[in-house]
Amino acid sequence: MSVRRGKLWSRTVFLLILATVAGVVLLPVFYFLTISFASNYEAYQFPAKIFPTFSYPAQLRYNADKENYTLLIKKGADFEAVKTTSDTSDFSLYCKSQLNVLIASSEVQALFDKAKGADHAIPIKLKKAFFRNYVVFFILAEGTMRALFNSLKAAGWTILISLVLGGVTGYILARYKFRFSNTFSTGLLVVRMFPAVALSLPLVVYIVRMNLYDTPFALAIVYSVPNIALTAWITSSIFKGISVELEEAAMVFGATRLKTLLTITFPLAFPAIVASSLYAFLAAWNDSITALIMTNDNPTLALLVYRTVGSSTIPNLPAAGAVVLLVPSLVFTFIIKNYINQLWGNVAL
Amino acid sequence: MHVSRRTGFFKSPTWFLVPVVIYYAAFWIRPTISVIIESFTDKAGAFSFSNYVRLFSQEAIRTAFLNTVLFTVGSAIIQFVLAFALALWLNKKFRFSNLVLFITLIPMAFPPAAVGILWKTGLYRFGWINSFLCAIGLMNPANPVDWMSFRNLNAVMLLIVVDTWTVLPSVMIILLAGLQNFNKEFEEAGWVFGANKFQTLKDIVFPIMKPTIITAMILRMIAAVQVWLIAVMIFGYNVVPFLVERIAYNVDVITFAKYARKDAYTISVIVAAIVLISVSMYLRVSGDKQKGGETT
Repeated sequence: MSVRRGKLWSRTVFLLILATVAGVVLLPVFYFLTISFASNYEAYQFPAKIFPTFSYPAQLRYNADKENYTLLIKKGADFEAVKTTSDTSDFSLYCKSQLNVLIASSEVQALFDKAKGADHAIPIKLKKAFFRNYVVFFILAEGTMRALFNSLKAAGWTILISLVLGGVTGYILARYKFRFSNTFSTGLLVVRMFPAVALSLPLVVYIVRMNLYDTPFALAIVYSVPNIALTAWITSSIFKGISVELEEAAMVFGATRLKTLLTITFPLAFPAIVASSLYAFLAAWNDSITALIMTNDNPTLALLVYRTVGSSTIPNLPAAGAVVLLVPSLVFTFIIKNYINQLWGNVAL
Repeated sequence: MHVSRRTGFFKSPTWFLVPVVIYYAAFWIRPTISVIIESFTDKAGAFSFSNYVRLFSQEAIRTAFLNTVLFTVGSAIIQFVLAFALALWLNKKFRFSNLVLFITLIPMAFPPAAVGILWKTGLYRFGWINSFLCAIGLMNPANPVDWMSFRNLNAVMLLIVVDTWTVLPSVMIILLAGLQNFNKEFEEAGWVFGANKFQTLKDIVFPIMKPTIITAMILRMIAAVQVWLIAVMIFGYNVVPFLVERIAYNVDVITFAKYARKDAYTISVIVAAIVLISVSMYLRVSGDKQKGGETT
């Protein structure tokens, strides 16, 4: 009897922990996603909803004494008057900017006529343009797309530089012992952890001199510093695992060293190369301090998101930007999560 | 055995490392030396400690220093305890434990800027934190707390919570890796000799895990020293000064102030020094770990 009760007890505790962990992680994420879809009107509603809405339960009332119309939106049990106007374009503008509802003036006129005909408030359906915040932030706001491309360019250059320099270093470290190889790999570890701030600040001077200030390529130069070392580290451990005999066999059969590398070694090391590229991408994509120091008119997306937060009081638009910032980050982190483990030993996942 | 037939120094494949060495000389060593020189010279270019003296005479910098220490120590302790508990829990294989692990890893993928917004949308007066607290009846909707009005120590603690949310998975995964490599038989031996769960944890698991734990903590400290973005995104500049936040402030806001550049340089040297000390500690620990691994 007591054994069963003990089991029940431990099961309850287990479920409680499970719920807490899942809640702590997922609640903020859900609320955050919802806010990225919220209109300005919804962003000011309190308490906020955890799931996004697709339309508003609303009513339109004709005020005969003033000859104007009032829009009411359901709040709790009653309807709250949110906008009173007699002008159709004013009404349409309000819907667009505050409610994320796209409704043409002519449609508004039809609704007005209908409301005028009825003697009480008529129910109307206001369908939300669901991705309106994203459209506003990325397409209508100037410079966002450019920032996105800057981020991609910086990431691309970072991947290229780190792979070429880091891959070669990794291969040499894996295959040859030379006099300073230990010092060299310790040096790589130190570079990998060196704070980006301490690097970007003095580098700006050189970057300006090289006429590269405010370009994604300049950012890539800084991002590559730790990432070359990281790539070298990841690839060298993989190259070490690829047996030398395989390479020798290829060369016995007459392949040149380059051909051996291209047809035998690289395909085998491909997963490591992908993982290092994704790391390089994430480093460039997530950074903001280097971009803050090194750019002026050409910010990266992360920096732009950071700046819009500072300038806006309602966080729904920057939240939309952050969600876009988050997506590749999330996907890539989970692709390389096995490599994260490999860096610290092997966790079976 | 080497594939290469080395016929002298000039045919040595180490020549392929030359581009990397040049890259690091140009973009790492040179700027690092120049920033150190900058921090130790005055405007005229003569050697002096004036930058450091001026820096530490500023109230905000002293606060930044204190806050950074508080933040680093506080987050290290909290994250260690939580991550270790979580790793121990997830290390017991149960149904859906992979799914739970997947969920717990999500925050790790958040870019700092996204973390900043996520918590900013939560912490303002009508944000989701208050909404949630109201929904479960822990707060009166008529009188919500304005988390963003927190100052000083409270603000630092709030930032520790936010930081913990993001980085806990990465600490946890290192510890989990250590636990999975850990030989179960040691633990079982403890039970056989009559130790209870807590004693096994304290006398067997902890000592063996020590290098992994120290590694995880040093890596965390290196990152924690460089905190700035979440602080600025949630509270704005000057509210909760941190060392790197001061650098960003000098670069971003008071760009044209007389000593903005010098101050930024000097703080970055301090940050780099702290990081390098941590790295050397890390190297010693990981060296010990390797030696330990060879002997056992």
